[in-house]
Amino acid sequence: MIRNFERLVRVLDRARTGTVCTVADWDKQKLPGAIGSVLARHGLRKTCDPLNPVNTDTELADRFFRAGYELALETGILCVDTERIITVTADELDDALATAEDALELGRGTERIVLAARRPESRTPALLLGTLSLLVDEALWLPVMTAIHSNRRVALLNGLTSGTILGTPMLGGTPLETVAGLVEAERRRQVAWATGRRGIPQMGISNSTTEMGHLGGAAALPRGAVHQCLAPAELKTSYGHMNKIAMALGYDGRIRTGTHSFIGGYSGPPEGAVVTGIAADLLQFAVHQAHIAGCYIFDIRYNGNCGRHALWAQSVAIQALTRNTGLVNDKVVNQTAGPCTEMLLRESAAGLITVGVSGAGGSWGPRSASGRHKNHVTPLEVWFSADVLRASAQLDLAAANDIVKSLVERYEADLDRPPRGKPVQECFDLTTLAPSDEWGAMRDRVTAELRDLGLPL
Amino acid sequence: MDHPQLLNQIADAVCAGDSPRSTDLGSRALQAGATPLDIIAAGIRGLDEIGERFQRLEAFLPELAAAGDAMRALKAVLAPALAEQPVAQAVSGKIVLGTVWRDIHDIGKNFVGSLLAVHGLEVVDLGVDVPVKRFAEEAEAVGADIIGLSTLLSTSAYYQQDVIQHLIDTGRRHAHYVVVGGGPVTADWAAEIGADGFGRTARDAVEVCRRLMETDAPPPLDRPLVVE
Repeated sequence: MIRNFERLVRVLDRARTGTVCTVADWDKQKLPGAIGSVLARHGLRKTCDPLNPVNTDTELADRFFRAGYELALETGILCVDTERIITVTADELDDALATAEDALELGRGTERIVLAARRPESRTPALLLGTLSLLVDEALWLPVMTAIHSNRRVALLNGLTSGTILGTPMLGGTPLETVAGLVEAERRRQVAWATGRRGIPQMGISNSTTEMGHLGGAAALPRGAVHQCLAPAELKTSYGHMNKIAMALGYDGRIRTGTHSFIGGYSGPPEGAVVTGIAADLLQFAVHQAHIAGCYIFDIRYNGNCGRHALWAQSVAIQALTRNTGLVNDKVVNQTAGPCTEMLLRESAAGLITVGVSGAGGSWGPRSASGRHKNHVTPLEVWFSADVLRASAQLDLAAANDIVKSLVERYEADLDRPPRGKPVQECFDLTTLAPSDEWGAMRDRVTAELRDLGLPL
Repeated sequence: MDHPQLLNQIADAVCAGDSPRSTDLGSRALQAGATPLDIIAAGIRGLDEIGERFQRLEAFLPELAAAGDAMRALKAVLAPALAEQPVAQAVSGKIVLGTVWRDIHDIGKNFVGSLLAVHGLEVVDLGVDVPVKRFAEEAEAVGADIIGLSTLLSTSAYYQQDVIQHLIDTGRRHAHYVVVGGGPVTADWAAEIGADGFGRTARDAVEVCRRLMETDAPPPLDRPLVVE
């Protein structure tokens, strides 16, 4: 622990003394310039192949890795509070990568899991690590969380969030968020007991939009839990973020940190998002003391990552990382459609097949209805995602690409205006743990479709 | 060079995000006899082009931001001439934009700001983690037509509500339209907190602001104008 504190203190020193760079200059000049330069140097411009959303050219992935490694050393990470750049040397980066664990034992007893580094086409399945921090009514938090985690295919207890705490609006950055973190930790224990999974590994705190929720809940998580420390943006950090990391280190937690790289944003084209995502993943270990890297690709045009460009970028970035390092990672899939729509299931299948076959260690989600609509999450799509992720371990890259191509064709026209679907109360019985007839029939149809396409579900 | 040629070059310069060239060409076009409205229309053509390139993944947020800056510079050089043509003022509006308190996510807000600038609105960007009162203070100081409130966090969405309540409590709700957006924000939430507009995507937000600038109804509206 002390060694990691020494690293963190060194990073914090650099956040105070590093080269000055305003956020505006970083966004508009420094980052786009460095990305463009590294892509040109490695001949990676215009290599995106949206017609083949799962990359099968692993040599290309390796070239992206080398470019991403160089970008990490060239740019470092910007601290948005001090507007100083935190750089690391090649020796420091290499040391951080070499000393990172390649497998993490999480949870205890019969619920113990091993979240390990995988490789493309690995036959060991990736793990579905709970759901995302989607918003539900406070009264629904316990029943929905209990229902989701009653299924052992969901390997880790994670998510959801509630907009209120004990009936009061949970205002971020106030003591209400601190209270919410504490209450969430207690409610997590109730879920673990109610599902008979007392040793289930946990990742939290979901109700922690600033460091306040983490301050409240982190100490109350089980020893060895994964502490979720989301960075503000690709290749950026903040004091709030590093406060969470300090708390996680102090509580002997495992640190999961990262964020998304935006296609169309400051990273530019899909190739830019790939190289930025790789650099960000690597720097999570050198700067943010990560145990699990969680940087992934996002397309700003439709706020998701199940379109062709994002799937391709996600597949290349994961392949690059997993072929060239032994770093533990997870990659998030961002759907746009809501529950009780076939589109949500097809987006989930396309996204999870892509990350699974490309070598991600795990994924969590789905982000039903883009995470926009309250109560629009049901256990069905979480369980379905776990099944798809597991089955994807039986595919090679080419077969996965064929399936994903077929799926994308069926929903891509609707990514701009995805169907909202239905809230959990209208399509899932939380007592019997069964979907409505309509939602169950959709699951059956898409499952049959996937089997026909060659996914061994 | 005659002014039609200059106008084409202005469109190109704005599209390229070249502020110095945009202002230089703007001045020369005025001297050559072009009207301020013609020059602004040329700039808007450049902005339309960069917007289309963005959709085709040929241009990205930095280029959008630069084009917005170039358009702002062009309008600044035209300001004296525009002042003599009151009708020209109708093409623009002013928005104070920011990510609300305790939320430091900026890319969605920046995207919306860039697109709004691309479509001709004057954007005053307050940045992220903006305290509730500052929105009202800045909006009053710059005479904003619209206050735009962004958030990615459900726990910060409440601060959108607080901004509106602050405007009501200080007797300034009638002075500004309030538009809300961001990851967890929905049309229902916009209606619940008494906002005047909601857009699901950045492009939707632009359409909402455009319609608000055209409406005759003063703020606050009975129900939010929604594009999704």
